[in-house]
Amino acid sequence: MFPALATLVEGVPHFDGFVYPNELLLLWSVLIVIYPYVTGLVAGAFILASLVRVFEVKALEPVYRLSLLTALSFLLVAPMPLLLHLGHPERCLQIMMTPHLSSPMAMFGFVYAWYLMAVLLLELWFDYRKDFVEWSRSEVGLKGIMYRIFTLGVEDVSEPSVRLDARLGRIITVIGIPSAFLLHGYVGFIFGSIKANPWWGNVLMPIIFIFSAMVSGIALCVCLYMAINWGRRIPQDIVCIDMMGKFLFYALVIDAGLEGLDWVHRLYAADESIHILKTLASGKLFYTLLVGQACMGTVVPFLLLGAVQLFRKKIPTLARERMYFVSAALVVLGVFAMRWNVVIGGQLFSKSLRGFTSHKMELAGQEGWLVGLGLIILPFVILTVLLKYFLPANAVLPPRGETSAAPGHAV
Amino acid sequence: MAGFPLKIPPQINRLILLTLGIVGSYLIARYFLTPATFGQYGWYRGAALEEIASRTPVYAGKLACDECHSEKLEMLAKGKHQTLSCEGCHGVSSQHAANPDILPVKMAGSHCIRCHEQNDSRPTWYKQIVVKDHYAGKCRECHMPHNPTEVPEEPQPADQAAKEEKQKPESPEKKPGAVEKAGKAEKAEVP
Repeated sequence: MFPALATLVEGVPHFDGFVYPNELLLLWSVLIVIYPYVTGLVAGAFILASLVRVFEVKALEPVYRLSLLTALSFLLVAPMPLLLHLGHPERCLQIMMTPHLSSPMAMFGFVYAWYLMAVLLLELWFDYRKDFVEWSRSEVGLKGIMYRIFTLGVEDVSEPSVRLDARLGRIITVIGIPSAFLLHGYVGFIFGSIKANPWWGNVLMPIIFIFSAMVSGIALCVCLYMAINWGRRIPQDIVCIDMMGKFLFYALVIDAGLEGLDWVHRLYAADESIHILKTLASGKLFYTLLVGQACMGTVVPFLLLGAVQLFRKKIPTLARERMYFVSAALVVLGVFAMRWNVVIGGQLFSKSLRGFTSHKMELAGQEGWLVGLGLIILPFVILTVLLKYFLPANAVLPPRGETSAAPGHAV
Repeated sequence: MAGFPLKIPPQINRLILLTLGIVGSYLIARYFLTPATFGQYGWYRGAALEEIASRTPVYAGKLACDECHSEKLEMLAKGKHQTLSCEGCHGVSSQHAANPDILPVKMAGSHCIRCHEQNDSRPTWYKQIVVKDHYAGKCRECHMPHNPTEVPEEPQPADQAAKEEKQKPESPEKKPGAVEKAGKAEKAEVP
């Protein structure tokens, strides 16, 4: 059986048509797929949190902290695929020591540091400062010491001080929205600026990345919020889920519209590359682009979420919850397929526009299935730890200064 | 100073200190970790040029080989391998050129399949073999590396070749490391 299988595998051609020698093997594999995916989830989760802070969508209050902690867990993992992809990861800090302003790749270190230190951690700190002070007083042992360190020695939790925290947190969120766009728009820019590749070199690419990031981040928070509530046996807050579903639907409409516009533009402009791109979409990327991204990741969630928007009152609550969960899960997978199609798809066709190479992931190598799965699971592990210490099941939401929502169950 | 209008709230104060600490640490790290000659000529370490230039060359070059092995070079010049350098197959030889008792540095792996193993990125006119489907013995039993269009008159079993090489260690072509285990001689497709 095995020799027959080996013959079958070897019989699969490595390429079709004309392929230049340096195009046979893909240089960017699954790690470079995971990197924009994870970064997008960070930006999307942060945008969801900003709806509470800046746009004062009070129904989303229960998911505010969860979305920020989700953003933090995924942001901590975001550079790891890049480091694992590098031949010399120990040299990574050199881009910080001798920064080269003309290299967008090198600028990632600064964009990342800004987003982590100046936006996300700062916003979390202002939001949690009062809790840190209270927990540092009530908790003992290592946990108490940890909370005391997080207070940074500021014990003032008077009314004016907490109000100042809320105001500063809001200002940081306002700065954070363009920063989240910068973080993920930059990732789209990396691809969009490669003008030699017709699949990537597209001015819409950063915008498509930003909106797909919003879609994936909101969808992930929907899934997490519902899953954590199920796990903790807390009743679902259907008002919050309805609101998240509404924003997910709007973001999906814009995202699908932009991606559709991109295709319409490509097809109508009919650049010299259009023939190979059409063959790519309907051939090598049939399952990931047409089935995964377009059908399962966009059309099905679009119909489900659209149906809920139109017939909300006629659909029972439980059915709505399930429709939201299924749609959100499909969107999360669909956006992963989108990242795969961009990164892998862009390397499958030859610059001669006359041939294709093929890509088969290894199991245990540097860019294999196991490493990829590990990187996808890791942020969830970090999030579990963060939830344990910063969003316990019995926590009650504090009234948030300027938004001053009614207390309710956290998560 | 009780009425001083710019009283900084404690949390802002602490964040300013933290920011100064982080930025200060970065600047100190940058001061110590940036190489002294960085940026002297461009976006790299200026001293790297001198370091690279000061390294002793390890390749002797074809002219050095020609001093003792001119007959091999003459044969090489007639065949398809005329553009290859001697040390590409025989290993780096600057020490051998200075002192013939020191043999060229032995190279790992088979020299022939480095270039002639089937690879889709090579042009189709280029002679290529699928190693596991090809004859398992030694290439030189059927091919003459110095002139690949010629075929050895007598197939050379490996032990005989090894014996010859032991007897003539001065010939860079017949270094002991080049001998591999060989099966029965068999004429194979010229790679």
